Amino acid sequence: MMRWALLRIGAGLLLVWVVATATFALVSLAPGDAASRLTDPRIPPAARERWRRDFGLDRPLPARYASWLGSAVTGDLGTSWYYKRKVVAVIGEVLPNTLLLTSLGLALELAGGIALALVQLRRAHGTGDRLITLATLTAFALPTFGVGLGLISLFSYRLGLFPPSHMLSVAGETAHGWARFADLLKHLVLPVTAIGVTGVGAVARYLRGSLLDERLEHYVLAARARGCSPRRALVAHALPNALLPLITMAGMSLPFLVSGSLIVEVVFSWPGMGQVMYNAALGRDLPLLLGGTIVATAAVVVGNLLADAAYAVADPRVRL
Amino acid sequence: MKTRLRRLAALTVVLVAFGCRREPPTPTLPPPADTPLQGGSVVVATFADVTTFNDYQSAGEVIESEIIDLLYPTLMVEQPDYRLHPPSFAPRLATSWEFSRDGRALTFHLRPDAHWSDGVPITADDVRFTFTAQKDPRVGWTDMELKDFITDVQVVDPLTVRFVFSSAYPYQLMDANDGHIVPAHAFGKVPFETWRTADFEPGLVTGGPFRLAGHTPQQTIILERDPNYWVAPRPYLDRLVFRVLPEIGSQLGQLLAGEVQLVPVVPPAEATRIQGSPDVRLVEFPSRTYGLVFWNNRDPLFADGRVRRALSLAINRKALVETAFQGHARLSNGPVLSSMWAYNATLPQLPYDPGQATDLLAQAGWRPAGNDATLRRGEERFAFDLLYPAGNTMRQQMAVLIQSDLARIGVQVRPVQVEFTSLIARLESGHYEAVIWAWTEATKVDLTALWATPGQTEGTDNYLGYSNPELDRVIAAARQETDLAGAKALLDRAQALIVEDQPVTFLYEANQLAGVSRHVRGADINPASVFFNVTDWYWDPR
Repeated sequence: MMRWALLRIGAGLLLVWVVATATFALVSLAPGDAASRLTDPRIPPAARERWRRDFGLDRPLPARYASWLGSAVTGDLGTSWYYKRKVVAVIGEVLPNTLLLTSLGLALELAGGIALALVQLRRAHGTGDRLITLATLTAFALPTFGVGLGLISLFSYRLGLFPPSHMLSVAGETAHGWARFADLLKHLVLPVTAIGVTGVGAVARYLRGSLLDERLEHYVLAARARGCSPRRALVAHALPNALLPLITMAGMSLPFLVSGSLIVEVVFSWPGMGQVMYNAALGRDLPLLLGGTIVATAAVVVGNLLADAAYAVADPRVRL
Repeated sequence: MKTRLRRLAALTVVLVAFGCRREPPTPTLPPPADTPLQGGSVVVATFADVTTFNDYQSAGEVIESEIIDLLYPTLMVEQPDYRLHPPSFAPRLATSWEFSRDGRALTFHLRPDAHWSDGVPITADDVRFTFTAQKDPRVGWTDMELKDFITDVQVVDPLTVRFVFSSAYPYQLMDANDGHIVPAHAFGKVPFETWRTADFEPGLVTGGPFRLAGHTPQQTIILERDPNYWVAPRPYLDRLVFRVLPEIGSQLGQLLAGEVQLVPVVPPAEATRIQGSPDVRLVEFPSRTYGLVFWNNRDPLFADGRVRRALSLAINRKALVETAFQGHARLSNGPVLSSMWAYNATLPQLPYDPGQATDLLAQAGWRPAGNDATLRRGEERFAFDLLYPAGNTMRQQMAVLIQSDLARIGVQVRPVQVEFTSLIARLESGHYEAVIWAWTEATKVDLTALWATPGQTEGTDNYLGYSNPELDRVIAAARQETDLAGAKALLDRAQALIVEDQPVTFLYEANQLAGVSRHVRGADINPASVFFNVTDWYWDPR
């Protein structure tokens, strides 16, 4: 067990290094750099060259890479060229916001998908099953921004029930305690729904297919033969086994939790990782991009570790 | 004021605006109409958060520069009167100023009642400290070169400060004024070598009409009226709130719903919707942004002036500007904006004349041959890629119109969108054939960066590889000419030379559109800044 964990952690660190190095190379070799965007007409053209010298962009690529790696291994991810603050501080500001939004969205997606699949399986291939399949597949095919804008149009502007943007209202930002929490909840409803609605279809489809197979397994039939009700046979016996593919799916979703959903963040003006990383990519803010990449890659590694561990817990046949 | 290239992403988003109406604070006694009311707050939409409140860390993003201008004083206020002459200046921190006889010393007299937000008086020491920060390479201010001709700033007494120049030249006032004055007693505690990355926000000491009351990263910046501000009872507004809304559809939806009271940049395609609202007024004014097609003058395809002129003649520029801007722009015909004092009003406006274009191309050796109607010169086909920034729907529209116009004379154009930073890199390295580009002019008329032969000084914005030695001489002379009439004559000549050479095709001069709540009164929104007279704004709930 310990050997397994050490091996996996070692492989994970190697993966983080490979991905960070590839990101460094890709961003450095991409046309343009952070100074390219100094296009203000009042900025003298010479400033661009000076800026490149100041930030070491005129140094050879291997030298820049060596300096960055040297700092990174000691835990110093450097300073964002755009925000002029420590990368860790910039990410630390937005990562919790993204985690809050995406984890709730993912929870809604999983809970909604499981509930829908169970409802569908009450009468598989019946009208209800077909209608839910149609509805969830339609929601899955809808673009997230379209769902987001539709929700805003209906629930914010027409009905006035929920705010159309941001994480807190202006008053909420200065409030404390319950008032602040209530304000946050109101702001979470629409973006979490936008993530949940579009993702619920995939979960329901996976689980429905998996449940249909499990339902006919001998152990389920045996449970039924022993007098177990159809619902109990489905929920207590078939469901735990049918959930195994979902564990993998949830593990693979962890990077999404960290890197955020750019579209949802833009549509709802949510202050998260997606927006910050998108702007960093456009502005070629290399230190910030690398910091974000490391966090996202670490999430992949951790996600896979957790998924494997969860497999072992859920399925006794799996040995670590 | 600082401006930058703006990409107007005209995302058409149909949001129905009802409900969610904001309740502004109401004063207790309704005063007579047109009398400014004290109190109230205005919410302004912004595409992005600020990265710093320190001018000397800023890379000049528009909204960041404007917020810094609300927090920190300059010596004077540049006036938007550049239609008549180079911009004049009104007092701000300085009450008056005078030049020495030889024009090399400029003395400012400061207000005795000016204070920082912590109550400390603003003095000549702050002005000198600011100058040392501006010139220090460790600080790395992006505009450092603007102070090249200022050799010293001397404190004469606490309220008198003298700028010493290496020579007399036309834009001394502008160069002296550039950059905001920062508090020596607060910012001086941070060593210059750490300025690039230091966080100045905690306990920020300011000196403008507003001070920082709150900042939630990527969300909200709250500025509140500074009671120490020296022009009582101004500002009238209690608060200016900047809300980050990265998507223009959200900005407009919230403007129409009354959640936001000011959207500084409204895309032309949305103008009609804003005009249709009873609660919002659309303010339109000539911006300093103009659009053009860059022909890469180093490319053999565009090296011949006749070819470039032919392309300008073959593009129906009037129809293009009408279609893309829906009446919110005017046709451009030269390198100086028609709203500037230096504009040469005698410049010809090139007509749409495909016949003359075909003749000129024939003179340059381009003739129809083969079956596909594409012009050929020997084995070479007249075909090229026309680049534009990805996501910019207006320029995409223009690229398609140009493609269709040029196809009529046998020139094959392939519109290609390129990510913005990559596009700038391609411009800088000269790896392009043609680009639809926009440029925002500074209020200082100086044609050097864009039109002078590259390589004479460090850095250039002349991505065209365009070179005309006579033009170089005229531009250099205009820069040093202190007599206004003399400078105008030289600039007229420079414009004529550029238009004659047609290194680019001039397309449009864009208007800027801003959407403002009708409850915001007293606002004079003009090309100098959206917040030009923000201290006079007031909230009228009627």
